[in-house]
Amino acid sequence: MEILQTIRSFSIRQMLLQTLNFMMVLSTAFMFWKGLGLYHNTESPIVVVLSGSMEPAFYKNDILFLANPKTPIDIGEIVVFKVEGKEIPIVHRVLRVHTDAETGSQRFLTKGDNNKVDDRGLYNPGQLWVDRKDVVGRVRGYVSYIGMITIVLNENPQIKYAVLGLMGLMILLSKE
Amino acid sequence: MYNHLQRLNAVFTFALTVAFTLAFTVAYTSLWIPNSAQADVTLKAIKVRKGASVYDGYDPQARRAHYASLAFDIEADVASLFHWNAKQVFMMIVAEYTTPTNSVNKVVLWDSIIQSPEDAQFHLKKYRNKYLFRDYDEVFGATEANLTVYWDVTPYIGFLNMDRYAKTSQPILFPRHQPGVNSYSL
Repeated sequence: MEILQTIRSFSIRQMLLQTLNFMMVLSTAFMFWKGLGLYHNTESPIVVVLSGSMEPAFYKNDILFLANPKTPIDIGEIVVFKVEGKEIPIVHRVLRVHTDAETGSQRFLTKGDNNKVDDRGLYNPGQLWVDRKDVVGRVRGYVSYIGMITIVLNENPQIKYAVLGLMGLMILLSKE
Repeated sequence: MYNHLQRLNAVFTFALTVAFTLAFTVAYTSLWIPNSAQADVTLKAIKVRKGASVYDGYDPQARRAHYASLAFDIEADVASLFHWNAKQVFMMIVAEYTTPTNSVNKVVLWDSIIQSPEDAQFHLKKYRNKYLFRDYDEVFGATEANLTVYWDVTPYIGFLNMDRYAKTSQPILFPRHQPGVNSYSL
């Protein structure tokens, strides 16, 4: 029981310091995420591609960096939008844009590059357009494969908790 | 002095650092690669008809709306857009016009995914629009439009929407709507 001995060898002060250290790591990661989202005006600045509907541009497991500046969205841009009442956002390309002459708000029709038809079948019944407010982000950066880690972690909670526990232990037990 | 775990950790950290540095370098340097390409689209024919025969299960106006069929020639070579960090080029022909209802309308008529410079040449004659072309309103509220070629480069790694260029906009005329007539052309 080497671990227990290591823990016992710590004084209370050292123990608290290590815990604080651990919290720092967690909160730094969290603040980085939130800061990135704040800067880019989007609730999720990084998303993982979950389906093959945008192949060959994006494959499952790729990660996308999003930003949502208020400038008008142009045709052919790849946007991430949410359909009201549905949990999972969709990453597809803008096929049609109409800008209302009175309000200046944009309406879109989207389509996945790998799909035969446009997205009206994915919208709510009777919904013909995606509104500007439904757009969560516009794809600005792309890295392949890395999203695999999050998909594996999300699909196997045991691995997720094992990794988290291991990381926590290592940080708690490491001596400066 | 160092145990195996520490050595492994050092190797792993170094490998990650190298990989990230390389990725960043590739991503940032490809922003400076100059790119331009040749793409021309010429309208050959345009005809608008009432969509009585159109089946679109999601569009309740489909049978009343007016649809435009176009035929155009495409003469394009976008091979120059393929640099070391270009995975694919997405090329589109877009109709742009203004109506009283909508100040900006952009509708994709035809698109193509190009994955290698060998496939980047187009000499298409009298090609038809790939997607149904109707206005936001039931009847086209415009009498003129622009046909524009757009492209969008997807990198292997890095930034998107940085080198999207609209090139060779060609003005076209829409046939004027004649009430009661089911099909009209220029």
